[in-house]
Amino acid sequence: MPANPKKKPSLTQIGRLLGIVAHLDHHGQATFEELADHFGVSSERIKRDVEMLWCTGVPGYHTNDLLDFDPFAYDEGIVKLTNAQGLYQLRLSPAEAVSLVAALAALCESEAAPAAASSALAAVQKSLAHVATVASANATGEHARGVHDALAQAIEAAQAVDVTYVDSRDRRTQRRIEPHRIVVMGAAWYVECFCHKADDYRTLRLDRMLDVVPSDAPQSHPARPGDLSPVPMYDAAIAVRAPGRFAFEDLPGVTVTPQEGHYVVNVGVASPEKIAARILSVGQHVHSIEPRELREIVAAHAKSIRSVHER
Amino acid sequence: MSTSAAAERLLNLLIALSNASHRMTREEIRSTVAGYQKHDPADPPQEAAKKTQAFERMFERDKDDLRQLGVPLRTVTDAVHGDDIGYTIDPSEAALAPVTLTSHERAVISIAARYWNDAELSHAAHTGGDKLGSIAERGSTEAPIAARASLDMGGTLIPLAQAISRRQAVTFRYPSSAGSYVERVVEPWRIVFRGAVAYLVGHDRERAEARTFRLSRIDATAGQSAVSAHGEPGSYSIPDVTTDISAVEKVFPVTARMALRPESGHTLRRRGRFVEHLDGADVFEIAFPDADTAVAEVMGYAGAATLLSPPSLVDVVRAHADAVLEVCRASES
Repeated sequence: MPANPKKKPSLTQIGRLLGIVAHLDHHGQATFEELADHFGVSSERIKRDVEMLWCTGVPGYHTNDLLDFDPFAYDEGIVKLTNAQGLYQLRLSPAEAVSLVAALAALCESEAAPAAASSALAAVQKSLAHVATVASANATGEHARGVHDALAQAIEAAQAVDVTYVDSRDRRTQRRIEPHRIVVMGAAWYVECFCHKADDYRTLRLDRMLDVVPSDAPQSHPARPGDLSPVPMYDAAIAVRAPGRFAFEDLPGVTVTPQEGHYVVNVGVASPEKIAARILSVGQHVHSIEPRELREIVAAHAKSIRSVHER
Repeated sequence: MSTSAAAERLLNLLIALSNASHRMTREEIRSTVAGYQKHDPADPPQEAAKKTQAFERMFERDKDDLRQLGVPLRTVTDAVHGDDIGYTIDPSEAALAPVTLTSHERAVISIAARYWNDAELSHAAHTGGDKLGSIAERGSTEAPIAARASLDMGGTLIPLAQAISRRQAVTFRYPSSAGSYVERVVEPWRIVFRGAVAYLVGHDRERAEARTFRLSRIDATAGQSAVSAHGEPGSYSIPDVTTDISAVEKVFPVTARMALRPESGHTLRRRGRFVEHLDGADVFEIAFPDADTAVAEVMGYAGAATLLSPPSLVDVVRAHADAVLEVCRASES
């Protein structure tokens, strides 16, 4: 596990002090309240920050060496920077840049993200030192955007929609859902909703929706706190050699523990088909599969796959 | 030492180094920058030595803090007095490019900042988001979506990004085609993202060519030392990989041909391009971000989709299926 990063209060404060200077440099003056709102702290805090800035500057520290604010405006509750002594906002560190680009790339993947996501990504890329690049996704942007927009409109209007959905067994179904919230996990987009076909709450993948048709029916079930983990039917233990681990690490609730030269993947199985596919995708690295009911499904799938991939 | 005093001193140090027309030595910093205890000629030698030690400790911490804030602090040795170290900051290098985000973009950045579960990535994304946010337009930053990482890459992503900016080679363990881990020595060039999947493009020293590595396949069991520095910083230069397509191309999509049974593979049909009817099945051409993803998807269709090409991947599909059948057989006997 990576160690907890240092969260020095002095660094948090410097971040905000530089932020205030850069903000005023870009946008001119601002009131204490506007700055407090923008930086998520109290007006009192902003006042103390500005007073500290007022005392810093270049060596010598005579009147002309210090950062300066308009004192008359200050008395009116307005912060107006008149001399920044060349102070500036700092560029992103490699860690900051890569963590933001990675998250934004995942957000943009389905192209169903808000339009601001791709422009934010472009802005971040401009400001980082060529550490990371985003390869454009090759996906079907228009369809994904259409699905996303139809769901977003229904959420906004609190109405139900009719969806043509492909389930994890590749069956095409029609269902009426009441969408509540759109969630991204990794690069996959989901909608948390009430599903009339299941008569229960469900989390459905957007990329499995072939069609979304708005309805006039109002929503009749309230949203409930998000929970992406479906109820498991049983627990599985899969022993894999190290190179196969990556296939399981993003499963909800999974634990991976080293044991006698292998890694044991423990996971609650809600959809045996989904776990079977993961096991098969790294088949050569698999050492054992428990329990037997999962093994039987995996073996059946392996046989079917083998039968359609003869030489 | 109070938080405010530390912040004020650090700010004065940043302003001093950014404004200095030449490098500043430790002694210059100590005697001119506000917040450091000055050398007093009236002090007895023991007292003076104590104060010097205290200054050295404080200055070391401040240098670390500046670097953690993202300041490219350079060490310059004097051409005449080789042991006389000075420090300098180039504001044009240290400053954030002036990108003014709209309030919508700032909202997206704050969603991105909340994306990570991993403490180190989460902290970096927050401080980076705050820097970008500081110069954004004022206004509401509400956004109706939530995002969460499904996989954490803290052990590999940050060390690789840092190594790239330092131009320092790295070593890590990566599976060979035979399936066992092999130590690789790589000059990292660029991290390339395709959706939530991250790849490293770099020069593999042993194989003497550009290679692509999927970050999630790097042996991360060693935690923070999964990726470790190898050799000195500044030991290579990065070619313009955007023009050197051959290196980056390897992470670009695999185009697979798949035969789909009638009434199956609905999502593949939507994403793919219809090619022909073949023996009662429909053949589609489908692009995947990489070979692993293509194989995983074929496996998910449990026989309803047949991979026709590329042949190398068909071999992989067979080998995985055979291996699993063997495991299942062995368990029953």
